[in-house]
Amino acid sequence: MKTTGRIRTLDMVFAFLGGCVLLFIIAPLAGMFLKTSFMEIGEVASDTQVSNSIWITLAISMSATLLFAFLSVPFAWMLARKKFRGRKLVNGIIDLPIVIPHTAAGIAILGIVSRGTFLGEAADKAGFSFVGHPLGIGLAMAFVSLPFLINAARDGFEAVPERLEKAALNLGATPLKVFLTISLPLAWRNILSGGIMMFARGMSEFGAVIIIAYHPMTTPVLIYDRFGAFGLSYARPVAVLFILVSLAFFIALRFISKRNQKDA
Amino acid sequence: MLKLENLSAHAGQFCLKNLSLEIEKGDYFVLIGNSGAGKTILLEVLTGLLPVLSGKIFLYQQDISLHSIRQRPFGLVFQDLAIFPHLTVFQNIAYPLQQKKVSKQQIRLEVEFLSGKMDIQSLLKRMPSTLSGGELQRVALARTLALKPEILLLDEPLSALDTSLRSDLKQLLFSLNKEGQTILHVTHDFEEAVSLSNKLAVIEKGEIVQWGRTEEVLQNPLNSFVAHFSGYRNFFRVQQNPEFSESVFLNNKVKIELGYKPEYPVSTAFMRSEDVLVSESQIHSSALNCFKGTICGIYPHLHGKELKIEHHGIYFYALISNKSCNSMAIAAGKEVWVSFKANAVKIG
Repeated sequence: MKTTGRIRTLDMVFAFLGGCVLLFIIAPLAGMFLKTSFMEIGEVASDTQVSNSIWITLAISMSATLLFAFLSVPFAWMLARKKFRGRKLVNGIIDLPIVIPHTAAGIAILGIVSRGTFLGEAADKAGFSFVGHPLGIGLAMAFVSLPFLINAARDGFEAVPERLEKAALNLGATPLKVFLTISLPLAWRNILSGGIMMFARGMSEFGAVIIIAYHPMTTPVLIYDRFGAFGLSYARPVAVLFILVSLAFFIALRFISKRNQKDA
Repeated sequence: MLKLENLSAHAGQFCLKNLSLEIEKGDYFVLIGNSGAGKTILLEVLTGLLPVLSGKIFLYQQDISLHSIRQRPFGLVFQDLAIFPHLTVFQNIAYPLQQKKVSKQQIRLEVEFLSGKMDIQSLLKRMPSTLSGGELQRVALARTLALKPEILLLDEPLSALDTSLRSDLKQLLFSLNKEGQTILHVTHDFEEAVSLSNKLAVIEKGEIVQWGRTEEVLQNPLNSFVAHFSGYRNFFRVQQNPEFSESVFLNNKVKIELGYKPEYPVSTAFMRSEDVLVSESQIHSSALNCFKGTICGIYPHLHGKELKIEHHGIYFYALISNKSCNSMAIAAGKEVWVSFKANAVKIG
């Protein structure tokens, strides 16, 4: 009885600590929502600068996620399956963008896409510049958010029993067919979760994006811009609207991911 | 049909060393060995999932050692079955046919035929997660047979099944073999091996220690490992005294009568525990070998009790029924007599 009592006390202490953490997350958001009226949200929603920035942010982040998923998912399979020298180093390099300050990441990206660099000159020849261009913004978003996708995909492939891939090979499938028909469908949920995280992280990126492009304005940059120019009361409704749109996307993608899990 | 010549390979800690054997068309070849002996590695090397380090694999006199996985006509049923969990039973069986670019109509016919043969027609729309172990086993077999493999490779196919399902599947495998399907089956289970095989190989620590027709291997085990697998629980290294050439000595102390003069030097002697008689007093019978010993171990056995009896540092194993065990009041430390006929002693 004494032990049960102690456990209950411990549970209560832990629940209290957890409650504090939850409050820390919810309170600022709830405060922001409560201080913003529906009218204010309606006004910013009809502001073309705001709606354009939200659209640009979502579109660029989604495009960057899809493009880099195409490049990095096969690579994640290699990291999960192949044992090679320097594998740990490669895994460490993939995590680097998470620990680098994002403004520093922006400077680093700028270093490879600005004029005078190989990519910058190639872009010049193609008639555009990465700086101040959605492509540059996409690179900045991808740089800071790619680890979420690669790590999730790698974990997903690692969870697929290698026996299934071997069985498919024995049943006459080519390695590419094995990847497409066995490994990818079975790791799909992790890849989708990683993709959602990458998308969400990418569209909320500010530090790296502002170094590459103040214009076209992504929503985090627009919020900063309005806060700097007009103050908190002008920035808040934009932030609330952006959070609502992000949440809607996040919930929809999570729903698809869960449905995919049930189907599997 | 299939010939392995000094085949060596390794996977992690395990390795195969200079493995040689031959499988004829229509054989039911069983490879028996303990866990970690290298049985699964051999199957993976044959299918090309693991590379050959040295040696050769010949199929119909053609060297296929360097052939790719897809070029090798072997179908492997994995120990854990490796059924694709995201595909239905129909899609699982159809998988190898789709890789061969067979028409949809042909795939449907083939899947219906195989599912009928395996008695799983009613399961075709089900997902693997809803099937029992026996049903999954049949799906795995049907899927592999869809490949029309020259040799069907089975990795411990009965190990995860309960007794009644084992019996059903044994029947199924037996009938597949009778229809002409060559089978290489690896197992650690002696009864499974003996009941199904026409040829048997014993593998120990990555080496084939003996192989041949099943009855030859059983009757002439070459070492204690094979003898253990073949049921000869009494296996001794012996010394032969030229003056007593119709007998051999165990530990240079205990004399065993053979009843005849061997035509070659003898180094081993072995006998089944069923052939060793246990009595409370010395009996006068035709058995030439009779010793007084002390029971030092009593072990449960499928057919009664197995007794371990010590005599001058030599241990004999005798199998007796539970009824005899009770009537003789068998207990550890009790002194008994063991006897066995000279012709129960096999030599090697």
